[in-house]
Amino acid sequence: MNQWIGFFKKEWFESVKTYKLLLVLCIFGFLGVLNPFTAKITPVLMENLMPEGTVINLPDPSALDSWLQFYKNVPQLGLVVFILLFSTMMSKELEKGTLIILLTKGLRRSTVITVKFCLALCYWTLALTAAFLITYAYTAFYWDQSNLHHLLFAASCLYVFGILLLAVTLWGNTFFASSYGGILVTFITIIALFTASIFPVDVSWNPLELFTVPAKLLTGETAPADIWLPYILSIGVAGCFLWLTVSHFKKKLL
Amino acid sequence: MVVQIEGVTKRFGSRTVLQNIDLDIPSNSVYGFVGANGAGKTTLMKCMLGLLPLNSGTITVAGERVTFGETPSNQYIGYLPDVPEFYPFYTAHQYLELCAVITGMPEKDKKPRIEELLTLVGLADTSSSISTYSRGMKQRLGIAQALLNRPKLLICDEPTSALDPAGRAQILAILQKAKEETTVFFSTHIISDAEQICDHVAMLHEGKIIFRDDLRTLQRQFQDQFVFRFTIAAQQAKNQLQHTAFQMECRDNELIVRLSDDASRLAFMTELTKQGIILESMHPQTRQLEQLVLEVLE
Repeated sequence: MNQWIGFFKKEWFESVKTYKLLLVLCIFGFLGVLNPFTAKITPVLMENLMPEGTVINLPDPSALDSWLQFYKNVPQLGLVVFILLFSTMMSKELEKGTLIILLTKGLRRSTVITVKFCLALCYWTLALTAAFLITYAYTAFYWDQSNLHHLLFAASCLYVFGILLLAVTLWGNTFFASSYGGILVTFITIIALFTASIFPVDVSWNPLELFTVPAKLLTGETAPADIWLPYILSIGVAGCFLWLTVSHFKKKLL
Repeated sequence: MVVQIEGVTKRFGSRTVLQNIDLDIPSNSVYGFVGANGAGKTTLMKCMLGLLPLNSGTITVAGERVTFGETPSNQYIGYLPDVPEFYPFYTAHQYLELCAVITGMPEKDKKPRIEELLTLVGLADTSSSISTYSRGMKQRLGIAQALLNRPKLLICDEPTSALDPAGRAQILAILQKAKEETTVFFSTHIISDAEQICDHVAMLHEGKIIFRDDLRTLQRQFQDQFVFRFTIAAQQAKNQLQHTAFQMECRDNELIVRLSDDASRLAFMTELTKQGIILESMHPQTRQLEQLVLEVLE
């Protein structure tokens, strides 16, 4: 356990020293502010951008608009940047050879993978929490949020989807041991999920649902019970990818 | 024997890098492992650390058999790679603390051991981060981390190859000192380094050990030899001395003569005077190992 904590401290120290913490807080903090701000300013902008004399009837912005912005900006901007930031977790160490000394000192290979995954998970939790809390507070300042459904559960869908992508990225990055390996595998996975979602099925299993369902959850159109399968499946698949990464790394020639 | 290597073969695809290697490394000695670049020295070292799987054969370190992956035998080994890479944001002290945690060193031993090693390698007064270190400083830190858990075997892969003469001398002095508490196994293609500090030498060529011996035994083969240079060509001098019983050989316009005792040395000098051959220089045969290596490579 000491070894695990010692290596985790090193990972944390490194992420702080390489400005990862600062970057994540700035990006997700900015996104948190951007969501209600965009919702508030959009009708004003529309009015100003329309040709003079044009009459448009835009409904007043609401808390729902702010959260819809959240589920557009955080996955499409935030998660992409986040995956890019953590896409070289393993390859950087493997390419530079910094792990060799520690591994020959008895550092367990499973420790390396689980620590790196846990650190990325901590960062993802921190990032999403920061964006969520800022959006919540800023939205509450302008609008009433009591009419929104499953606010926390909707955010947890995005959280679980992020965990799945992190596990896939870590596997790709370890397997190919190159900076592009992780990104490529993640990109291919998303394409595959999109392709699979084209085919209609009675009960959706596709983890991509977690990416699209939050808006329906907020309006109450979908209930949490309707998406238990993709939810559980995503957690299970993320666990499998983590196990595959550990198992592959244990056999990797260094 | 701290290390026993028996019949080790390692192939990468169809290419055989190590072929039926047998090698025993005695305790508390400095064992030089010489060979040209690409001879397979690093591969054998990585096999000893369990970083590469073997195709056949066995390696035993301190009685523990080496297995691929997380081998328990590594608890007896300290390893210095050819280009040691550290986390640049750490100081030497912080890095050694991380290594101490990884090796599971007791809390009370950490501080004194780290201080002791930083003093040994001359980094005790350096508080800057590793990113500012020179190549020589990194090598010295590499030795410190390798010695941290008082290993029974210190494996150093080309520790002096990219250093200037002052840096090389420092590293060799540290390795010589390390011999007091451990066995040093180091690879090099700089033969003079091996000659300077090794007790035993093995040479790897095209995946095979082509010689291994006590360095003194190797040197003994040459210790009776003297190199003469004359004002005339060495071949001409040899022709003039042809009638004598001395064993002579011409090499690079120098005459190499085997003179095993004082009497024969005096007799040879008398013969030179008699023949009117004027001596320009004379010295005992040196660079023995290098010569042996060159002969083998030829």
